[in-house]
Amino acid sequence: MISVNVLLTVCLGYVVLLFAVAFFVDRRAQRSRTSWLHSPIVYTLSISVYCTSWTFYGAVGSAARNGLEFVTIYLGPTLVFIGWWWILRKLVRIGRAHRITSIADLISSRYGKSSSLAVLVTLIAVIATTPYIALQLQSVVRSYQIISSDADAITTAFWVAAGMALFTILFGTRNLDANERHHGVVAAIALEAIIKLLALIAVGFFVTYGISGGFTDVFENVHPDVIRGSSDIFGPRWITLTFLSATAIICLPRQFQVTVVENVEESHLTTASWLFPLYLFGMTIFIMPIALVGLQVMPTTSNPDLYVLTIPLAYDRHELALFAFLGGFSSATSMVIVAAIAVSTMVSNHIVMPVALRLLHGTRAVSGDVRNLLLVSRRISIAFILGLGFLYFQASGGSDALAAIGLIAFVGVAQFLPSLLGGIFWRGATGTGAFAGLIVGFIFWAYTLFLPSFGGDFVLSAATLANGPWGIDMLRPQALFGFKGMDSLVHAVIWSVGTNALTFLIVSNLTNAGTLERFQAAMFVDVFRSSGGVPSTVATSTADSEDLFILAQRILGTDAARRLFDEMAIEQGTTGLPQASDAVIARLERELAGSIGAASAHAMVSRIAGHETVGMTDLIDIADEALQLVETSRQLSEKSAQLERTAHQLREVNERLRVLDAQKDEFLSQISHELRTPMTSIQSFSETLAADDPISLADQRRFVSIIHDESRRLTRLLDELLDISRFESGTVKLQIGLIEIKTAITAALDAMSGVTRNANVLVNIEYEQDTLWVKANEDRLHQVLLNILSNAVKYNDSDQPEVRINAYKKDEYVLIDIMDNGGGVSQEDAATIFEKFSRGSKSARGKGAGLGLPISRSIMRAMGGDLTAEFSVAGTSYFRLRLPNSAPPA
Amino acid sequence: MAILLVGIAMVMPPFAQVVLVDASLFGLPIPLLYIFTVWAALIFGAAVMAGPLSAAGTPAASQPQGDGDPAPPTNTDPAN
Repeated sequence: MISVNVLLTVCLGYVVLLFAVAFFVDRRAQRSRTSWLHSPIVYTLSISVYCTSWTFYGAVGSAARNGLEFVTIYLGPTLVFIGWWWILRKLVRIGRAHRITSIADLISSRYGKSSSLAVLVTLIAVIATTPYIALQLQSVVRSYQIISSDADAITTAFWVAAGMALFTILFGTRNLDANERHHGVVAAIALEAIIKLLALIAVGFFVTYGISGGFTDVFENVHPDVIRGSSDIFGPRWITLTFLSATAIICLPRQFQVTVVENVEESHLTTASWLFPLYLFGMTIFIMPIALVGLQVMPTTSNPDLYVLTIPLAYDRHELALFAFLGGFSSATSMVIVAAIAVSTMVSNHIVMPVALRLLHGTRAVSGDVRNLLLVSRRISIAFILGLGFLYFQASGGSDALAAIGLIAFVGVAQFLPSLLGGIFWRGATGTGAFAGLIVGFIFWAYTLFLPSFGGDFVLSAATLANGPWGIDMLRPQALFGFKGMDSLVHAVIWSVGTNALTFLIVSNLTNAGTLERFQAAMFVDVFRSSGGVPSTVATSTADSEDLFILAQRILGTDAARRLFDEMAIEQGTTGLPQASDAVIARLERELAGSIGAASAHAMVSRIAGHETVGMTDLIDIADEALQLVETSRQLSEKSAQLERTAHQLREVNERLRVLDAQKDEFLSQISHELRTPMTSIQSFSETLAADDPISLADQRRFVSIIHDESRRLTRLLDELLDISRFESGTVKLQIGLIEIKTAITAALDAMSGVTRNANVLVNIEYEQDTLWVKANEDRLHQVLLNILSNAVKYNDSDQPEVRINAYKKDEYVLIDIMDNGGGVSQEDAATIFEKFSRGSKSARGKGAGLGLPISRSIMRAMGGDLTAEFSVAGTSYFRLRLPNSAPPA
Repeated sequence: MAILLVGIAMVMPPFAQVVLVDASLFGLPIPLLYIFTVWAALIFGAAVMAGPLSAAGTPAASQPQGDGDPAPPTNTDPAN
């Protein structure tokens, strides 16, 4: 047997080692020389606080009783870490961005920094954690009693609890670091993690290869039922346990503490994603062999929960038993320390501080007074939590009922899951929904699992458990509303977590979130999209920097507050105190939240700064402004496109103007030429006449006749020019009347009958109808017809000139096609013959000024018709006159 | 994410019930051998996947803690 003195000396030595490690690391951390601490391995080892003495001792007991079922407790966390670690990553990111100090702080912060929600989560955490702490005390006490059988359980438990409280207070409240990091504690926990792993493997190795002949030997002749357990594996209980352990790794306050709050680098999660499952694998690989060998070699009276310790003792391997004891001790103490830190942070931040601050309100502000109060309240909270654990242990008398408490605690903290996941993934989740869900889930948990676990000794009597309250069978705690024949744990999980999630969803959908809550929801859900540095509050304020500085001093202490404000002043580019801008207030609130929690920080800053959260209308205004900006930007781009179109049009117009300018120049040059020819003639003949040289009378007459002809030609040219200019400017208002087309054509032909006869032209006329009436000006139509017909005759160089006229009705118009057999105009000429002074390729013959066709077209258009050059299928050209058709006059 | 779904499917009923036989392989009961093999395979898979994820996650994650909160990484989504 190991002597008690040796055991106590070794234990004391181990505890001194832990204190030394924590102290050393804290000292290093203060000097910022902790690079090795920033290792993902230390982080992973600290997460292994999940493996408590419940694992170290209890897993073997569970394997002995229920076979392979114990694996589920480690499969759940494995699945979370290997496949769902991005949820943890999101939690870590949120935790860092919002200076989250605990799971209660996270939930409260997400739902509008609600203090009532923080209190509720804290209470549930305390109720779920206290029995768990009692369980750790029990395991230490029992293992101690194995070695020192006369030791008093209560006294031992008291000293163990007191020792842990001392350690936690010393290293858990050394500072109120911005993010509640405890480097010393983490280092000690990491060391303990290694000890417990090595101890369990050492015992497992001894059992498997020292007592048995290896794995094959261990499992030889083992009845399959031992592996399957009493409730058979891979059933509903298997699923439930895996779900619970997966939930616990996220929701247990101590796991949240080490995974989220103590995380120094987000990337460490990547390593932990496989290293932590590997650690769990290492912890469990020998569980089954130890259980099986224990069942074979140990007396039936021996408690399987303590095989890890009793087997080495039975084989007189004292040093191994001592190592195993240290492993169990490590498992228990690491859990208790971290749980105490996590829960005491919640208790002091969310319950003690709000009350204390209310009491302090009005007293004289002294630098660091709140900080001191906070430290004291945290220390008292730690002592309170451990005291509560001890009292629970004392009250339960160290009974076996405690063994089941691990799973009961898991179901208790699983109540946080809907609010937590809803909070970080669903914007629509509201604080009211979370509160209602938590309350309902908590009530069902207490009624269906927690209270029945006392076996009728506490609140619910044995009769109530058996027959339901007042004998109402439907209300039996473990067969609620007729759900009978179900495993009590599965039953409790379905009722508590199910109703919790359902209530949370329904109430969230029925209620509206407040402004701050909506804002926080956006910040949490979109934490990867937001910059992270944006203010955690929407506020308008007229805060005084001096007041804010005093507040910071009270909570952070003078030096830390000075540093923070200097930093903010430098950022603003000022000296002295920084301007109390919204950014400064938000930053301060965030810094304070790292010490006292988001709800308290928000309350204190709001009180000092006197700022009001922006109302919904203001938020809508902000949204409107953003919308307006979008609209303005859209309009700008539209205007820009419009400008581009206009510029394009302008370029086109400019091009046309250039062409017109060139045409005008050509026109002037043409007209000068046209005017110059008769003028030259008139000038030269009149000079000859005016000369003294004798000229015969006949010549005189001839010369005067030429002068006269040329004058008339000039006048005609000027008349035509005048006509063109009047028609093109649109100043001519023609008197439109009803004209019968046959009459008009006949009149035109009559007028030029002399010409046609002289040129021996054959005229063919075809009328579709006897009478076709058009709207036109009689004189002008006559002019156009004359012009076209004379062209047909004038430019016809055929031996047997022929002109064909075809008048017919088409749609609303009367068309008159005039064609000749003179060859017509070419396709190229057709494009230019209606331009002034254009006479086509036959202009060389100089039979006119080239104004006839442009004038004719102008006239036709002025009468609502048109004049065009058309081409027949055979390619010959002809002119087409078009005029609006009219009903015959009444 | 895929590894999670595979993992859940492998260790949960009804798939896991297939191996619920009272026989041994290499001297070990098949259900036990199966669960620990799947577990080891999952850890191996996670370790293999952690390499590229770690490389992608490092730049943003290794920024100092404090007010210069890290900019959101755009390339570290484990779903990718």
